[in-house]
Amino acid sequence: MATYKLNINKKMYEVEAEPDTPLLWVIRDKVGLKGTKFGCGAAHCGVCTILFNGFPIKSCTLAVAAVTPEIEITTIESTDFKNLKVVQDAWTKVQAPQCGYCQSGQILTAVSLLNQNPTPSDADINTAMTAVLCRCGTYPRIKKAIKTASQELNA
Amino acid sequence: MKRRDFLQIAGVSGLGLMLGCTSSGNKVQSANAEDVELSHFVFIDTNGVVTILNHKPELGQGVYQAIPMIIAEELEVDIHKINIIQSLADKEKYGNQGIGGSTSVRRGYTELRKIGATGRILLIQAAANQWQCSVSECSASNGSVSRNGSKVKLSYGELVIAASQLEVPKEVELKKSADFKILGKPTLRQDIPMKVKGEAVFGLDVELDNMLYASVERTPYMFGAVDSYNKEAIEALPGIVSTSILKTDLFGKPRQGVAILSEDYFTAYKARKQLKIEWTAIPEVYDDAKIFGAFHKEKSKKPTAQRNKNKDKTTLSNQVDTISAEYECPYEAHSPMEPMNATVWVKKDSTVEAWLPTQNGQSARGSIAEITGIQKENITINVTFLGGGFGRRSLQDFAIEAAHLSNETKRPVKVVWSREDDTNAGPFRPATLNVFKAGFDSQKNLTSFSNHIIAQIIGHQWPGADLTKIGGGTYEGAYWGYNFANYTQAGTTVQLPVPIWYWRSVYSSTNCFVNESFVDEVANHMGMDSIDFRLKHMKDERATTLINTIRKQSNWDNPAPREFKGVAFAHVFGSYSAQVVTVEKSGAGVRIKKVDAVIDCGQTINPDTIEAQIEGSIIMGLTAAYKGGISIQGGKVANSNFDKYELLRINETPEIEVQIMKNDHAPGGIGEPGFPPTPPALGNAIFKATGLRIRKLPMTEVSIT
Ligand code: FES
Ligand code: FES
Repeated sequence: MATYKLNINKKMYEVEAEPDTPLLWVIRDKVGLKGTKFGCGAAHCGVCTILFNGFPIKSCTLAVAAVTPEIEITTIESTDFKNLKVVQDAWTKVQAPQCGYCQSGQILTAVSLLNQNPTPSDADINTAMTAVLCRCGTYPRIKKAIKTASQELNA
Repeated sequence: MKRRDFLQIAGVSGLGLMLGCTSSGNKVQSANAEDVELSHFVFIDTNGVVTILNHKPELGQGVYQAIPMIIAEELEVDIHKINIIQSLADKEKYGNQGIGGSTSVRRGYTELRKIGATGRILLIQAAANQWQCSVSECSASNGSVSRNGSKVKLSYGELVIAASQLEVPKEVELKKSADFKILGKPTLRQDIPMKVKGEAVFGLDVELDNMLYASVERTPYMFGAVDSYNKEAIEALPGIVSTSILKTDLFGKPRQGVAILSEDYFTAYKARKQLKIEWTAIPEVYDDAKIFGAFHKEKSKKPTAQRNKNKDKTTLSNQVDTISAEYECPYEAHSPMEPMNATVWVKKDSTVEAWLPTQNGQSARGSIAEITGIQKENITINVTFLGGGFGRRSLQDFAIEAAHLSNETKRPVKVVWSREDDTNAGPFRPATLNVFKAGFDSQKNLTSFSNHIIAQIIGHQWPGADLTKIGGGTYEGAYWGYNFANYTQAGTTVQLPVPIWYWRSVYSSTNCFVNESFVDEVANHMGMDSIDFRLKHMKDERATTLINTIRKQSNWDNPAPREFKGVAFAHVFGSYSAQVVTVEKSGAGVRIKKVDAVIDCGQTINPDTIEAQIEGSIIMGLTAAYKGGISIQGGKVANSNFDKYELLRINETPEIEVQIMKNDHAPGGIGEPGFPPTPPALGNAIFKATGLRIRKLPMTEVSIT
């Protein structure tokens, strides 16, 4: 066991963990933030996506030992990350989730996309969002929600 | 009743508070108000705040909103102002709470309305008593009762204590559908704000003090028992609390594993790599070729059962020409995004509390009672949100594992399956072989149509099952309403050591593909338009209206240049469903441009949810059509994670347009009817575009983008 300092949603956490523990399980079970989900454990599905300095990363295959306290980690529980609320509201407006399980990963990936490109084309949306699977098939509404959020941001 | 007691009854105390009632989900809390129970489903506090319980598991299909909508309609309350919470699994109070077969709304509709109406009538009676007038002089709306022709009004909060003491009426009058204010209108779902903030509690998110995590190395084959394993070596690893053999069965056959328990999931999971297990009772080893070989052996034999209609010897005697075809469909995994998991706590005081992402909490309650010897009354089942299910979570194996392990340790145990665990274990959507034959007279009129399905039968897996009978569900999705002359459906049951289970739309998921494809082959052989052929052979007006509607919506008769369209139809789970897939040629293959869908599910509850279910079903249908297929090699699943068992991604999703028919027929199902027409409509479009008839899923013979 070693001690790690993690900067999650602008708060410092100190956790004890084996160095090879994936960040996903540290965030979920040691820090106790359950909004980040487990889907495949092998970087195939993207439901475990969180943001590293604003960019999406799959937390299930990233060992906690590779994370430094300088990295700003954002999870779905953040209350003030840039444009997260706008995107969440757009998601609610178009009623995007079905079971909802993949949606933390979807939303954070979309927030990162919109922060880099506030007016994404269909192709831009496809490229960014292809990383996250949804077995319920909410993709048409995810597209709609991203466009709704984009309009909101550019209003 | 005080709010605290009420919350406990409703299973939302402590940890459970998060289940349906987070800070954002629970919009209204009135201070100093007393909650009064009007029925097991309806509580109104003395300030007039209404709480309605949803008693069915929510896995994305929208019952969390739809069930309270039905009750609220008759109760005459504002749907946007009520609290919704999830009930416990308790048969005595809520009746059957299992979900499957798209039945929650269609089977519960009238009963749920009566529950709301009973509340309304009691509240009106309480007002009439207070005003000393007759009930016919009073009417209820928007959470209060008014005296007709006057401004006098009493809120439900003011009436509820008196109402709760009145005798419950035996007969209640239900509203006319023309007077509906809630049903049939798109309504925002209360579970969605929780789901976009990561606050909704799924099974995997349950956290209890002193909880152990379990990761289980199950038989890598379809069945099998543990003979021995290196227990001491594993238990010596750092962080391992204990290990044990899980002596579990499935369909009367051992399907065991070694469970490793730790204070955290990853430690338990990682230790599995060091396990050395001797397996025994491994069934005969099958792979894809041997499985389909077993099906093909049955082709020439007498089927287990068959049914016939429109027998007509004269027509048959004119038969001069036949066509035949064979279709194969693979096993599929449910693969909900949330892998199987369960948390069970067998407490030292001989009570049990469980937190389950289950489609059938009552069945889990029964199994836990058997395992622990504890009476059902002392077993509390909290139903969490489910991260998808598609039928998988109606089997309770995950809950049974957690119950065994908590019973042994007397600590709360959360069993977590990895994605590979989830895919490898199945049970799978049945693989099938269908053999078709159609006959024609010299004028190319259809003289006979026969379909023979050869597959494993879900109900035949239990020991002692009657193998001579095949239920009508085996043919579901192969439209029996076609008035073909000499129409036969036959079925042959095959016994294989591969476990199978209900999967979204069950046998319809393959039957509709094979039948609607062969129907197209017949139409093509006769030189008829696919839609004209179907219309000519159906009588049911709802079916023909639906087909005419999709014809128009999809621009069937005027395709754009280079566009090709395929159609398919299903009448399943109480609803009518038709789709047209439009493709264009792209290199040697096709590109899917659009999927048009029309659904007639009778009276609608929340049309926005219906649209979402159809969209999702189409996407799952495209996945099954050209990406899916569980492959079995050497008795084991060969594609157990999403790199090899691929799901459709957003960039592969075509434009989808859904139209919902408006009528007031009884409500039909919506979770499943959107699936069956998608694969055949795609196959039929591909045939038109390329001339290639695809008779095997997944469609790998042609490139599809
Ligand atoms: S759980 Fe991390 S990509 Fe699937
Ligand atoms: S909403 Fe269920 S997996 Fe995406």
